[in-house]
Amino acid sequence: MSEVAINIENLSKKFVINTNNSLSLRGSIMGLFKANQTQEHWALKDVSIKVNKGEVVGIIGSNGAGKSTLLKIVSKITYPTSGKVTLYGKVSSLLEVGTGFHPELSGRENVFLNGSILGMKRAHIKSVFDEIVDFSGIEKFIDTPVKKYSSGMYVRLAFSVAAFLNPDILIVDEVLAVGDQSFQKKCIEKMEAVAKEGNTVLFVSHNMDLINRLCSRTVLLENGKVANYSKGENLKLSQNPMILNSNNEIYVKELAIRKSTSDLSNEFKLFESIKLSLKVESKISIKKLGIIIGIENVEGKRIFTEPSFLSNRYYDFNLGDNSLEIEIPFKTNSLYPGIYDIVIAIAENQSSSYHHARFPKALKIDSVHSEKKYNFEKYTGDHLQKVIWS
Amino acid sequence: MDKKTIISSKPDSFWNTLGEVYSYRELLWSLALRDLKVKYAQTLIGFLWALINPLVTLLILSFVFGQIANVNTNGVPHQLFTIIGLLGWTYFSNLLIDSSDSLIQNQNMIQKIYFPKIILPLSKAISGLIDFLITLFLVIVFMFYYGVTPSGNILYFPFFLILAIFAGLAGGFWISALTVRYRDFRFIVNFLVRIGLYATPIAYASSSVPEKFQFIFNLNPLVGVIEGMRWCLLDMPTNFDGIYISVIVLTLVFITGLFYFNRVVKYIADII
Repeated sequence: MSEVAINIENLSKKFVINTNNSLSLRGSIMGLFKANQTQEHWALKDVSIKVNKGEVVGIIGSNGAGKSTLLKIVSKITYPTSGKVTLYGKVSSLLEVGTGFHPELSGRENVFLNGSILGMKRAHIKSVFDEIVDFSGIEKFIDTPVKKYSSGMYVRLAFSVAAFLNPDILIVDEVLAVGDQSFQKKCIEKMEAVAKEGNTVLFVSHNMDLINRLCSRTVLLENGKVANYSKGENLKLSQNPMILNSNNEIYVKELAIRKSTSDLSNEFKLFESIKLSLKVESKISIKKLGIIIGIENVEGKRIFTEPSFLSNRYYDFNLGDNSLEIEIPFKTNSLYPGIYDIVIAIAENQSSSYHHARFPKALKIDSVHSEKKYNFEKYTGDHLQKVIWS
Repeated sequence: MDKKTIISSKPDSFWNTLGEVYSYRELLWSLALRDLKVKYAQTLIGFLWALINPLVTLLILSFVFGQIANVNTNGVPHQLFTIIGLLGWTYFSNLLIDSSDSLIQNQNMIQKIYFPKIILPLSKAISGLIDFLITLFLVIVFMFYYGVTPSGNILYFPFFLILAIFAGLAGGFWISALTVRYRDFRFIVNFLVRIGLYATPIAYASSSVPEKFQFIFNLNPLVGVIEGMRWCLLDMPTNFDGIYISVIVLTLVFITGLFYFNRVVKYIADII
């Protein structure tokens, strides 16, 4: 039985969006005389997550899913509307590097200032000061006002201070992506070391590579709710498209995803071939339209785009309510294990599209190799290539 | 046993906040130090400005009130009389202005990290003390120059300094918390300070205020602070009514301000 470090229970956070301006005295006084038009928005709804001691948990989700709100509540920056968070141990949160840095102050002064803002004791900062400067690699400029630093130097110094926090629980928001390649590597190694020392880390990032590398578990947030708890668990895949843009003349009525055996499925093994068929309904008669297929990961990052123009393939659509089926077989499925959105566009050319729809989380690629029992979870990337080794 | 933190919709209790301030006391010093270093950064004469500022104000006030209006100062040289008034007033008004703006000024910090917010106005009370000490030095120079020796009342001087700190913070708590929602109060502070400069007996004695206005006049808590400081340093008869009323008014504004501030900081990150 492992010990719990972070216990998030039924956490909800409501924001009230005021349509009339009550943020000024005038608005407030006016508000006394007319009905307040407010809208509620639940940034988090009934979120429960348990993190054990020593676990590194990644939180992912698209923009507006509630990741930052969750971190802000766990960091005590904002209060929940209902629910409870219990933290066991010394907590440090790092939602930004260099909080409180003042441009007029020197690097040295800012290290002490930022350190005490992060909750470090002065004596502790003093004892690790040389290490901080050494880690940042800017000892030459430590007594220069930071306003004269390049932005790279600035974040390097800022991250270095944070690297010498020694909390039991570390809450980090996407701050690792700082500095140049070699410094980033240093930061990630530092994070790995923190995790290995048995500290608990809650980590938000859009960088799936990093999440895969650092985290023992991921939580997917969607519209303020926990959508998927762990890598292993089954995800409820959705079938309903989100229309991104349409002129309502042509639209994708149905997307069917099939295995090579023609069975309908959303889940595929590595390298397993995928067939997509579309039912398109058209209210006009039009010839020579292209179809563009895009695959995006849960973070909204485009993995690849496949326009039919490239293969000189165009489709004719007939007037009326008739529909046609188009089959698009992927020759090789090189997708990395994970969950993907399928985005489909029907367009005349690259710049004018008739219809553009997203099928969120339509595809799931298992991490287990279809033939050999090989687990790819430990590796990262967007693509897997089958090369011929000689 | 690990430290246990519970975060729920219930606000932190007042005593809890007090404990937090104590554990963040180093941050309080760091922020005060930052303000001091930044204030005179990249100036040629640095801290000399803290000397020039009150001297210029003194020059103007003693010309207008001393030379032109020729107000009654109970026989005390007008410059000496006024510089003591300025001592209390400048500290108070700077503290009021700075602490009122402290939450807005640090909104980025507030949205990125947890710390007891009350530290922001409190740090202004500390950083302002340097300017206060410099003006106090000027007061001592003037006292030497005019050959005035302070009486035993000087033992009460710290009490009036504390009263000035309370006055600045009381206003600062209220206005900084109100500014979070209503930026209008940023302008109101300016008005208050401008009115206060004349409504406070800085360059004139409160005894010259007509009887029928005395009560309203005494409601200004700074009357007690400044009359008190003069009583300590010059041993001149003073307006004790003003001092008592100041203490009562200040206690009231300070405590309510503290509670209002504590209530606002709960949702500050959402609305600032």
